[in-house]
Formats: sequence, C-alpha cells, structure tokens
Amino acid sequence: MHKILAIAWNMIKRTIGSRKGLLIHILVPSIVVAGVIFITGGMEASNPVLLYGNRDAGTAGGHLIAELERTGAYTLKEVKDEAELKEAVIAQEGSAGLWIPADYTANILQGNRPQVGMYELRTSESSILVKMKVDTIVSEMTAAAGLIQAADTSGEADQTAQFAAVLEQAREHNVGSIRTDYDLYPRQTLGVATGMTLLFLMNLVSSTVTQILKDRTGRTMMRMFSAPVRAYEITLGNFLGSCMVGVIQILVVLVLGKWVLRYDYEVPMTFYFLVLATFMLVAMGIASTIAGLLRNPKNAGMINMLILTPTCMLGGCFWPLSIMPEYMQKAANFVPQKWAIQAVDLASTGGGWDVLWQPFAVLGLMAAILLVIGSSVMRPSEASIGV
Amino acid sequence: MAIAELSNVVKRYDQKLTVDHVNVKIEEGEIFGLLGPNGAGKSTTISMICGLLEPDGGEILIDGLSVKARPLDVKKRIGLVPQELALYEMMSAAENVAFFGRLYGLRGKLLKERVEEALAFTGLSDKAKEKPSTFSGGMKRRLNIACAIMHRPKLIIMDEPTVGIDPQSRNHILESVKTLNQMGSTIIYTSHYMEEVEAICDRVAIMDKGHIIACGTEQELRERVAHEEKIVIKSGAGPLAPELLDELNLHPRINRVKTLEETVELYLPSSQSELQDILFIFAKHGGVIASLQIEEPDLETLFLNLTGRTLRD
Amino acid sequence: MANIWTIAANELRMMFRSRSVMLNTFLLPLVLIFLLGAALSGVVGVKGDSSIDPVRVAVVYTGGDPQEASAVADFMKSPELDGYIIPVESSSRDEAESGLRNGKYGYAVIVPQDFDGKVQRGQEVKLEYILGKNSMDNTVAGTVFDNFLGAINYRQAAVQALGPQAAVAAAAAAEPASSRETAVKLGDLNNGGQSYTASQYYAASMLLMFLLYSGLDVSGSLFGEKDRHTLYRLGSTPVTGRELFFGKILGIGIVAALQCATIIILSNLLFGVYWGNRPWLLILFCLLMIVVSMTFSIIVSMFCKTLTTANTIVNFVTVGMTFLSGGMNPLPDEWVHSVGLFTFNHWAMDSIIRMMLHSGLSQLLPNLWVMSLIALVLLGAAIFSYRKVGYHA
Repeated sequence: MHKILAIAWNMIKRTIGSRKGLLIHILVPSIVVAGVIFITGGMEASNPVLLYGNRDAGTAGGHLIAELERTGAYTLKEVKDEAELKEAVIAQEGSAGLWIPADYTANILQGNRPQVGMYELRTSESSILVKMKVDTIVSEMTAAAGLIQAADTSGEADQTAQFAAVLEQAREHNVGSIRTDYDLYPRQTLGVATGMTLLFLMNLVSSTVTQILKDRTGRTMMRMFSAPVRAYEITLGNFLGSCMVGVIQILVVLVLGKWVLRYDYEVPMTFYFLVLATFMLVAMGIASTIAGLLRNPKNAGMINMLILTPTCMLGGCFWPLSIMPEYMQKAANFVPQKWAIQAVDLASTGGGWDVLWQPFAVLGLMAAILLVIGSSVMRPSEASIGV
Repeated sequence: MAIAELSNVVKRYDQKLTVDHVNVKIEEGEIFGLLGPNGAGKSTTISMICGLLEPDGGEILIDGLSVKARPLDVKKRIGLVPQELALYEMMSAAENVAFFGRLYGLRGKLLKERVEEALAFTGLSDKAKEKPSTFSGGMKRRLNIACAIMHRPKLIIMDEPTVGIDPQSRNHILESVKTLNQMGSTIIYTSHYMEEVEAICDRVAIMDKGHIIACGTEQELRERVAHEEKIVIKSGAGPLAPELLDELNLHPRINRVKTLEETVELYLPSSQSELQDILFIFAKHGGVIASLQIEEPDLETLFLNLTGRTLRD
Repeated sequence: MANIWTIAANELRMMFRSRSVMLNTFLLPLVLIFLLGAALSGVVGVKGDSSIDPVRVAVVYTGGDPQEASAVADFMKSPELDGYIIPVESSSRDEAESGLRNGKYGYAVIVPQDFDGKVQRGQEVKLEYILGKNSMDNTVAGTVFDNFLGAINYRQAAVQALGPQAAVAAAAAAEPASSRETAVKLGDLNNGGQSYTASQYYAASMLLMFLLYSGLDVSGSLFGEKDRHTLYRLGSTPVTGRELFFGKILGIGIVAALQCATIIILSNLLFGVYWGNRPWLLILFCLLMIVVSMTFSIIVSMFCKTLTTANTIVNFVTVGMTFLSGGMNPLPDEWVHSVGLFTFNHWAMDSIIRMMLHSGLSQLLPNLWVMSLIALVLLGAAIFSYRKVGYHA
C-alpha cells in the first residue's frame, strides 16, 4: 500500500509541487473558472436590453411595448428609425430589436394579424422568449380588435378610440396572475456555470494524464517498474495521484467561487463536489483512453482538445440543452457533461436520491468502462518497453 | 596558415569568467583536440568560434576572417556537430540533411548528391527514408554528424560526438573523423575522454576552468610530464606495513607516495634506476608483491599534474 | 531570402506531418461550426416542439367548487391543452405545494374564490401560479395560462370600455381562430444580399478563436526548436537570426492563412455559411487577426522560459478573449461594450458580421483602423522584445 501512496505522492508533487506547477495547474484555471462563474452569475442580475422602434400611428404599438416593459424582464431602449435599429442590433447594443410598422394599429383593426419585425444577431434564449411574449400580446390585441368589430360600432374613428380604450383598460390587468416563486427550479446560469467548470476540469485532467504519458515515453515508468513494484500498484498509484490533483483543483475552484466570489451554487457544496469528482473520473477515463490509443503525449493533448470543446457544446456546457433540436438532445445522452449538469439541476430543485441515482449511475458506468480501457496507459506494458 | 586563431578570447557569465583569455592557433589540415573536464569552457569556446556566442573580449579569426565582422562567411566554412542531438524527429534522415544543406546554399542536383554522400559516409544510406525516431543512439549520433558535413566545410567542429554510445559506433565515428581529415577538413574535436583524443588528434589543448593549461602535440605534452613516472605496486598480503611506507616516503628519489588500501603508487623521475631500491625496501620489510606496473606518463597524468584533479572529476 | 523560404518550407512540412496539428487546425473548427449551427438553428419553435412532455398542473379551487370558476374549469377541459398541460384537481394549496416539491406536479394554479363573478363584475381577480422545478415546464405552463388570462382580461377590458353590448358580442364572438401564424417576423439585418442566420455569428466567432489559437503554433515552434537543440545547430549555419525567425513565423503564418481559407470555404460549401460581400476586406481582417495572434504569441514566447508557461498564457488569453467578446455564449449586453472592447476578437468580429450583412464601407473603416492599430502596436512590441530578448539556443 505504501508503494502505491509513494507513487501517488510523487505524481502530485511533480504536477503541483513547484510554484510554477501550482500556478499553471491550480491557480490560473481556478481563477478563470471562478471568473467565468462570476460573469455568468452576473448575467442573472442584468436584464437583456431590448431595442425597439415604434412607428405605429395608433395605440397598439405603444401598448405592445408597455406590456413588454411590464414583464420586468427587459430593459427597453428606443431608437429613431429602422436603419438605426439594425445598426444598433449589429453593434450588439441590445440582444434583439423590435420594429413596429406605421400601419400596425390600423392593420389589427382590420382584423389582420400584422407582423412585428424582429432583428437579432444571434439566437439566444432571451430572444426566443421575447418572440413568444410578443406573440401572446399580439394575439390578445387581435382578439380585442375582433371583439370591437363584433360589437359593430360604426365608424372607423370610433373603432380606433374604442380600441385604445380597451387596451388602456387591459393594461390595468384586472384579470391577471401572481407568480409565487419558491425557487424550486434551477437558475438558468447554474447550468452554464457548471458547464464552464466541467470544461476546465476536463482540460486539467487531460493535462495530468499527459504527464503520465510523458513518464511512459520518458521511461521513468520503466524504471519504476524495475523496482519491486507490481504493475497494478503503478496503475493505482498513478490513478490515485491524478485523482488527488483533480480533487485539489475542484476544491480550490469551489472555495474561490463560493467564499471569495460568493456565487450561490444552490446545492450543498458537498454534493456539488461529489458531482464534479464523479465527472472527473469520467474525464480521466476519456483522457487516458485517448492517451492509450495515441501514446505520443503531444498528440494526445491536442486530440483531447479535439474532443473537449465539441462534447462540451453537445453536453450543454454553453447553453441549455432544451434549446437544441431533438436529435441533438438525444445525442447529448452520450456525453458525460450532460449528466453532470443534470445531476446539479436535479439537486438544485430539491430532487432526492430517488431521481439522482440515474445521472450518477450513467456517470459511474461511463467512468468504469473508460477507466478499464484507459488503465492500460497508467500501467507499464510490453509495448512501452523497447526502442 | 592558421584556419582558426583565437587571441585573448574572454567570455563572462554573471561576472564569472567561463573562458579566460584563451589563445589558440589551429593549423589547416590538423585534428585538434580540446580536452578538459565537464564545465571547463570547451563548449563555450566552440560556440564562440561558430559565432553562436559573442566573446566579451579578444578576437577570433576563421580562415583569416573575423567571426564578429563576417559571421555568415565564417559559418559557411564551418560544420558544427553539436553535443546534443539536433535533429528533426518528424523528418526522415535525408530530409534532415537536405534541410541543413539548403541553409548552406546547396540546391538541386548538387544538394541531392551531397545528401547521398553524407549519408553514405556515415553509413546511413539504407536508412535515408526513415525517421530518426526509429534510430538507435549510435545511428542518431551519425546522422547528427551527417547534417554537419554535407557542405564539405573547411573546418569541422565536433563537440563531444561520442557521448553515450556503444563502442562500435564510437569506433566508427573516430574512423570517420580521420577520414574527413584525410579528405581535407580541419577538425576540432572536444572530448573529456582522454583515450579518444590521444587516438586521433595531432595536437591537443587541455582546458580547465576557462584556461588553456597546456597545448601541443601529444609528444610534446608527454615530454612535459616525462620527468615523472608512476609505479603501481599491489600488495599480495594485505595492507603494507607502515615502516615500509615510511621508508619509501623517505627515499630521496621518490617524489610522492600514494596508498590506496593494498596498492601503492610511487611517483619518481625515472623508474629504471630506482626499481632495484624499491624491491629491496619491500624485501626488507617483508612486503609481498602481487603485481608491479610501470606507467608511462599520459595526458591523464599531465592533467593531474597540472590541476591536481583527474579529468573525470 | 532563399533561407527564409527554406526555413518556412521546413516549418510547413513539420506541421503537415503532424496529424494532430492537422486535425486541430482544419477539422476541429468545422466540427464546432457544424455543432453550433445544428444546435442553435432549430431554436425558433420551442413551443411547437412535439417532444415536450406535458406538464402536470395542480389546480386548486379555493372556493371549493369548480363551478364558481367555470371559465377556468372549461379551459382546463379544452382540447387546446392536449399535449401541453395535464390538469389535476388538487384539494388544497398545501397539497399542491407539497406535490410541487416532490415532483408530483410541475406547476400549480390557485383559483381564487368567486372567479367568474369577479370577472363579470369587472373586479380585480388574480390567479396565483406556483412555479415548479423545471424551467421549461414553468415557461410552457405560464405561457398557456397567461394566454388564457390575457384573453379574459381583454374581454373584461372590452366590456368595461365599450359597455355591456360588447359582452353580448363577446359571447357571440367565437373564440378567435387561434392562428398559429407567428406575430413576429424575423427581420433581415441585411442591407441586400443573402439572408443572415444565427450560425453565421458563431462561424465568425469560431474562425476568430482559431486564428487566435494559431498563436499556440508560434510558441510551440519557437520552443520546439530550442528543445530539439536544432536552434543551436541552426545558429552555426550561415543563416541570420532574423532570417530564421522570420522564416518560422512565415511558415506558421501560411498555415494560419490556409486554416482561415479552409474554414471560410468549407463552412460555406458544407453548411452554407455566407461570409459577406467584401472578400478582399475579409481577407485583410483575417490577415490582421493572424498578425495580431502571432505577434502576441511571439511577445509571450520571448518572455516565458518554457513552452508550458507560454502555452498556458496564450490559451488563457484566447479562451478569455473569445469568451469576453461574446463568442462562446451570450454575455450581458453591457459587457460587450465595456470589457469586450479590450479583446482582439471584438473588432474583427464586428467587422466580419457587418460584411456578412453588407454594411457600408464607412461602418467598417473604424474597425479596420482599430485592428490595424492593435496589429501595429503588437508588431512594434514583438520587434522590440525580439531585439531585447532575442531568439537563441
């Protein structure tokens, strides 16, 4: 046992024993992750800016904007004309731009369902929600217009005035809803914050595995094996060492995020740690499997990158899975990041182990399979002896 | 005519003199050995000759050209075999040689010929298309040489070209050094293996702590220590008696006595005349001689004489 | 000059020999662009997605009698809800709440006493929603019930504003044909030319990220030569330090340019990404970006002792700048205009998107000046650091 510990300790010492190692493997990544979490956490607080231009001669346009403002989810900003609106959207002054044409009210009163123009530079969750909200308000307005027509008061001017009156009355929201929020659902940024942590965690783990691979090519592993040590002891020692390095990295990231930047993880820290640690095992499995297939440490590092970013995208590290098309959501099931994020999501909504077992089982299974395949790299083998 | 002339060359690292006023003249056509322990300043000197480092003082002339004033013209005349393997593992042996050949301005047919010639010379013709990553240590060393000779330089500098290889490759390399010399190149050969230098060099400079402490042909250097020979006597019956050693020490013609467990080393101007005396002293104190060896002075002894240390310290 | 080409060619050969460099340089960006395009293209109809599991909604009639709130009760039975909502009558608010917590329900609606009556009398009446555990379910259920309430609100408003005859009309009027036609038309940001899609945004941000990443090749190559001891040997050849350095940078620059061309051309052919109407300016911006990334990496390499340190810094800056310029996931708008301005990516990104959108030249020029300025400053700093530190074995 003490041989295993000696190998593990050696591994830890070489990776993060020096001031430089500490800087590269612990400090810089932790600060990056904590910073990313901080920024994404800050997104929660700020409303997306919604640009609009209202040319409507009637009241519908104003009503639409007022109703959007009432939701409290957007900061509305008016621009002069359509060209300026486009320009502002392109310059990313707001996440989306709405353009209400001049004859908008008139069109609604004629029983049409006129369209509001919307501009966006990139699709995002908030722009999708804006679209849905506008859709709803317009439906209500057209319904109101339908009523006025059905009531059949004479005269166009009359109708316009009535329409305005109805809208004004509607803005009172006599019939409406109150939302009671017990914060049962996961905060939107939690997924992204977790995702970013996973991204960097995978990156770190792969660099530790690369270190083991360097041992192999540098023949120190052979020397280790020439000592009275069993192959499985070397494997276990390396495994344990990389695990410890990973655990330290996770701890530093969590401590920085929680107690220095005061990010609210919404789940008990021990649980969050457990999720990350389980995920780390999978990441080690992936990294060592690749390393086992490639042998050359430099290539292995690069191939890791080749796998890292795409799987993170697919696994929902950058955006919520729900906005992806269905087939891609299915594909995400094969990506460990998805399950880790899901575990955090489930736990943050108060889910107990009756639902949490599933993501953990999947992660565990992935880790087991990959580590068995990848364990070949942590162990001296005949292939590595010789020239 | 001197192909390389170093006058008062000085190089400092952090106020420490690595090369301290070195003056050497290397004649065209000779194999010049630069002998010295690790850290004596050999590699620094060589780097300065090749224009890789700029001396802090003094001047170096190669083929009559100042290294400082015309570095490129000097470099064209030099082929450097670095101490470390300096090869591109991703490229085949032939590509390695060809790349460096192009940098010496070789092109087209001539380049192709020279590459083949260099590989043939180092015995790597059949490995031309293979990558150095598949080579053995000796083969890599030879390729390391091939990359430095394909432009047929006037002056070939070999910085410890035989470090860490098997005796066979070592002999091959030593042979090729001689051949290159016969083909017209002057060779500077550094090593801390005295035997190598003795075997191939016409003239030898011994360097220590940045100084050239001796320079000359092997014969000349030997003569410098010729006033002292060494007799090594191994006792056949345990440690020698103190009285015996005392008497040896007191002998007027024996300069020094060194004892190492059962052996005793005696340094004296001439062994022939005193051998009788020594045997007599042994007999008198009942010393049993298992073996007796008279050693001619070599460069090792010279170095020891000059510095009080051995080369491999 | 010949020496520069020899060294550049050697650099190219070594990079093309390395399979992993090839994969990372040419395959990875395309995979990422494809994933981004595929993942974010289908986002328009979140509601229409048939894969959504219906939400179990607990309905609590505070008055005890559903008949008191017939409008709500009727709505709960309406076929419109099929596939979205499964209403479940719940006995009390407490029961609904605990059901929400243990996952029995996804959402809860509390109907106040005398709902119908209040609506008819024009009084204020509010349904209480209790949000459940799933954000998606919350959005879906919230939207469905808000639409329902909205309709009632407008009808009540109409009655109040227009008088009782509207009530008759309202009763007579059929439910408005719930036209699924969207009320929002995605406008074309374009000033002529092909229509703009969101995937273009990510294609541009990925292109820039990878151009920044090519800085890693610079540091890898500069340190590789040292580690291999070939730099020492090269020092003994009749090649000036400047030729050597420039040759290496040229070789990597060519690879970066090839990478850039590959990303642009293949993303266009394979995924239909349109890169705008000014190919020459696009090339110019890409070249500027390459200059920026290379010179930056040179400066870093000059002052770092080992490859690992240099790579860590280049990596850090690349990922950081891509992130801060909004290239990875959307950032708060004010970020883009404050911190974002300090990233290399921002200026090139903005220009490429404007080119995709056929903006006028006058809008592009400021960006061009800023990029040129950045490139110039970095170039100056690179030359300075080369002079100061140099590139020796």
